Amino acid sequence: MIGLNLANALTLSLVLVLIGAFGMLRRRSLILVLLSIEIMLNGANLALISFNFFLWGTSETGHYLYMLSIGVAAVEAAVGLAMVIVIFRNTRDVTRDRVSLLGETKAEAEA
Amino acid sequence: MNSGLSWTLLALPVVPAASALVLALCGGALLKKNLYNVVGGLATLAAGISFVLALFLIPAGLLGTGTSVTLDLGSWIATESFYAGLKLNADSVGTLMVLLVTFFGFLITGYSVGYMRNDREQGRFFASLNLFVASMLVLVLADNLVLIFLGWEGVGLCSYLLIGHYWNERGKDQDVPLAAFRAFFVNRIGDLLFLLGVFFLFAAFGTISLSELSARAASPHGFGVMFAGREWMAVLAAFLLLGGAFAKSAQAPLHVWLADAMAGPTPVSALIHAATMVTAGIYLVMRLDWLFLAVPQARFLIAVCALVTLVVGAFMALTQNDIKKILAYSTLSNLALMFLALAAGSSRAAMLHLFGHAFFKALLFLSAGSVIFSAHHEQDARKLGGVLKSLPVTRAAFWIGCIGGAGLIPYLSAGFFTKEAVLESVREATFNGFGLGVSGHVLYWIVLGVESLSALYLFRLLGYLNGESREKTAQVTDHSAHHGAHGAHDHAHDHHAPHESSPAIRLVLIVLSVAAPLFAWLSGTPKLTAWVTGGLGEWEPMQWAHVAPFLVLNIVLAGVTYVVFSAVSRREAVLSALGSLRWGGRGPLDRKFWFDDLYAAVIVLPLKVIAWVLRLVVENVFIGLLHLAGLIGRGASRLLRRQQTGYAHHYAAAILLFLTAAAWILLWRRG
Amino acid sequence: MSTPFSTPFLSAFLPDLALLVLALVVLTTEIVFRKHQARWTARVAVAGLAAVLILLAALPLPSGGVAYAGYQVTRSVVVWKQLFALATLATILLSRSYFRNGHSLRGALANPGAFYGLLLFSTTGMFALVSARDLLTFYIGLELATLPLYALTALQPRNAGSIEAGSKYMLMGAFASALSLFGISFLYGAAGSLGFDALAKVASAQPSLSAQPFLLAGVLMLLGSLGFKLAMVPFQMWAPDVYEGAPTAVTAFLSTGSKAAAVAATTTLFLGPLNLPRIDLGAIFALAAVLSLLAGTLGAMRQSNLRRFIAYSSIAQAGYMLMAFTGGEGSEAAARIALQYNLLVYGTASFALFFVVSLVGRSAPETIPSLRGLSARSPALAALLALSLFSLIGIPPLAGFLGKFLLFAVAARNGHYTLIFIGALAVALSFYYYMRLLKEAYQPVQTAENRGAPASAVPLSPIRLSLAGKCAAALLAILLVVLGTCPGMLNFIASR
Repeated sequence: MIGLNLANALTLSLVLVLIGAFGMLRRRSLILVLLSIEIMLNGANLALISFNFFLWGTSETGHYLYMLSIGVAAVEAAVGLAMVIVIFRNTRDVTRDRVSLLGETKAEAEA
Repeated sequence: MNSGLSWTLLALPVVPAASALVLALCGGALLKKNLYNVVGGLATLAAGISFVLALFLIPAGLLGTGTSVTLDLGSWIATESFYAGLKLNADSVGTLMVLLVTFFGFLITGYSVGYMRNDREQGRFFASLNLFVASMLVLVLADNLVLIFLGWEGVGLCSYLLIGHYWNERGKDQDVPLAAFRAFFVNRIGDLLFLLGVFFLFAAFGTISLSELSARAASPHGFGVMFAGREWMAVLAAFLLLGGAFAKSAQAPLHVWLADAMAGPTPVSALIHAATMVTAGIYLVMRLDWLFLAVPQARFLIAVCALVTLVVGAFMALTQNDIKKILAYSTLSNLALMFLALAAGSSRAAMLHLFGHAFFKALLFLSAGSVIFSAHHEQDARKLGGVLKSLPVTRAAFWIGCIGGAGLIPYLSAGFFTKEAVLESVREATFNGFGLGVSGHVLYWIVLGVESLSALYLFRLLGYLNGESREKTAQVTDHSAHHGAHGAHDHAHDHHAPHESSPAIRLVLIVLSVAAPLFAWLSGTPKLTAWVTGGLGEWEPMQWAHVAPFLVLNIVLAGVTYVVFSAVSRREAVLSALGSLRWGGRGPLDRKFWFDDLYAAVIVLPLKVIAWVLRLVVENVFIGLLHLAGLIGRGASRLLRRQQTGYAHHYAAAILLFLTAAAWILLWRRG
Repeated sequence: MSTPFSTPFLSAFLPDLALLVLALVVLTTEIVFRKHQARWTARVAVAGLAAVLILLAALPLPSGGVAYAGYQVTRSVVVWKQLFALATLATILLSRSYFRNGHSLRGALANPGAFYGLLLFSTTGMFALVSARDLLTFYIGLELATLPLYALTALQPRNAGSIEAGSKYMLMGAFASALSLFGISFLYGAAGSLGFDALAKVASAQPSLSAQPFLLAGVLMLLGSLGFKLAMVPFQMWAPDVYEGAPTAVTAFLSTGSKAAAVAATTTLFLGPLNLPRIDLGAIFALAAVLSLLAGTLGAMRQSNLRRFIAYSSIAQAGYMLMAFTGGEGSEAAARIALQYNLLVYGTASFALFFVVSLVGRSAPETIPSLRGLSARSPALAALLALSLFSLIGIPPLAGFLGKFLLFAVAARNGHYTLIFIGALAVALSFYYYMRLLKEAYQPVQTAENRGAPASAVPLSPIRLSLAGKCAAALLAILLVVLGTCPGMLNFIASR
């Protein structure tokens, strides 16, 4: 039986962050990469509220930061999606191969 | 606190620096209007003003006992942890150096007006020359090591700029930019060591002010208090600073740049690479003598490196045919003498020889410059047979310079008493360090033997330049090749006999030809010498009985060499006779190292082998290491850049990997 | 502690408020001005920033500073803000000409309102970041300082490089932001409050970081996210790509303003509540410094793209600056002064470099070979380049030397002598790669054919500077010299 305690909540948040990180490493579509980052942020947010809830219940500062971070995540998503749209307009494709042209290996191959 | 006299200390570097700035900004414009003499004139004027200002320092800085002129401009860098003042200080050593720098700076700038007459890039040249004088004065006058470093880098930069002056015109076939770069590169290594040395000195003592440091060293508690618990830092600082001094003063194994530096115009070689800049390292060691007295290992290292340089320099000077290279290697050898005096703990002897060397070497370089100028930049001594015969002033100057450099005639040779002082100091010292001990007597004999070579290489050169011309005996095989390489322009000139070049050049040569014997006379007068170098220890009268036999030997050596080399027939007869003696006449006489082989076989074979091995090891290994470092750097660079794939997720993976590893390591350390 | 509406706090807070208002105003200038939008927007922004700078310099501040809730203003905070405002000002001045057609091979910039507005929002974020007294303000400040930069980097949507750089920067930035939020949550878990005071109390309870897993996890992740902004190894890999793709003015801002903000943020945290006599943290910073120096040096060595070169050079410079964090307890003041001085010097030299790059980039790609013959095309510009490079190397009397000396002195306090040796070695090697630029600039153009470079790549036309350009060049040159020769003047200004 899985109880609702700090250790389990933290484990869940860590799992979420790792899922997000894994998705960022593995997904080729930029939209899914953005989604993965959102999952990471949610994992972090979960850690924030669980700490507040389980350890420091008297204050609510953890919740404040959580709410603000949702706003930040929204802005990040907006900027990210705007870029994905531009990339799609330019190339009709939103995989990460479209944004990997700058780099030493390619510059070296050209030279 | 700052009297009127103090402000001359500020004016000394500021005047040439201001002139350098003006020339850098407006030099091009002036040259476009063909105001060539204005450019050189302004530079000479600025250097001259500095010299006159320096004369004002004599009463307070030199003649007073233990007094000095000081200018305190408050703090330069002041933070909680680090303090450096803007303080200039001219004590007796400082005043002497200021006089030396401004005197030669003034004369040689004036000389350059004639020498660089037709150069289209004069603006840059004179600006750099003035900036050099300014930087050198900062170096000499500065009271703290960071300020010294400022001057130190400044002179290095000017040296780089001036060595590379001919990058455009004649640089292509001589690889001038490469020579300049090599010189600067070695100097950068030295600067790095110097800077680290300053840093550790600061870490050990908490101050970088020279006056404060030496005052504390002189206090009754002395080193015990100063070093408390930080001995290793002070020792490390001594070695690092020594590295810096070796690079600047061209001592083995950092000596390789000086021969390259001869790619610059000859006045530059005279001022920077003979009289002033290369003595900066010696000056530094002199300034920090309390440190080196406390660290005998460092002094032992000085002695070893200086001895190697002395031998390498003298033998290399014998093997060269390029006038300037002969003089450059002779400079190496003489700088090594100064370092030997320092290793023996005699700043006075080092200072004396620093002056003597400046006089005769500047004279030699300037007369060589006059020869080179008249012969349209031909520098091979073998092709300049008899050139001095049509240049009376230069010829006289060259003779005085050679006699001075070889130390042949007391009271006339600028180098006689000064070398003698060095030899005496070496004889009376013992050198201990790293568990080894060498008696000064052993070194004394070695140095004496090697120093006799100076009579050989200088009078061999003089024999070539003042003897018979090769053309007269119709052996012109070399010349046809030479003409082909230099094109029609030079060809046209070769038919004219060389003639004395410009009034500025002649005037400066005459002044120096008078000044050098004057200095020689001065240096032989114990009272005067003691008075001038009063701050640097006791004067001991010279023991003529020690000297006389070697004086005679040197005169004979010089005479024989001159007689042999002044006549083509004798020269070639003797050489071919000696040449056929050895190993069945292997190779042509004009082979690159024939002279090396010849003298080595006749005089001392083992020494030759040592010199050869030293050169091989020191130069090849050193340069090889540089190349190796370059290769490693290139490989690592490629390896690193291969990680830069362009994929964001690779970069993210690197971050995750590192964070996980760091967490594991930190947690593991706990368990 | 003062109340939110007391005069000292308001007057200390005023510049930040003014900057925020300015950013909003600049965003709307596009609506007000129909003609010469770029010119007018820039003018408004410059005037406003000048006002902010004057406010920063003129407003009185109690000797101990003022603080309310998560916000504090001290003398050192004001100096940081001045640095940010100066960097923004210089970026605006540099960027003006990029709105004209034909100034760059990459095409002109559009949307001046958005460009300057975003720039000012980013600066506002930096102001908040450096004033932070708790992790909430810190996080918001960090995000506000970084988010606009993603958009700025991608502000040339027609240019594939720009959009790629922007998206890459954004992806990495969002990743770092998630990390920092995760880290902050652990710090919060350890301390029970977001305030720096509580954090310091908890952090000082145990001598070793390893004994507090929550704290360790939080510190490491925050270090990762700050390291990303600092371009410190191993979080530096985005830098060369983003520097290459971004519009030139944005690259200049990234390497100066944004770097200064990152250093300031690291100072706020790691010379603030988390600065403890700990071996582990100092060792981590020392290791990062060595790696950054190594990566920067090796990367710059054989680089021919000028922007990537600058990126690697800035990575190496970050390596020097990281040395200031190895000093341990008691070195905070010295470290802060060393960092601020260094950033000012480095910023000046960088802007001088970018000034040259922007002029060369008019007619040629921004590569090192394009610099060839610069001394013939414009001696003054070549001289400025030389000054800037000498300052970056650290040749006295230019300011870079003193900056490095101060940094080394901080590292020496805690006995990091190996680090100093490596640092000095990096200085010596940096000479080699910086001089490559200078060698090109002073290379005669005739030899271009010998080296196989196409003749068309070597524009020979002289570069003419406008009056404003001449003034800017002269000002930069004077600053480079004066900062080095009379750093005492700086003390005077700062202590006033």
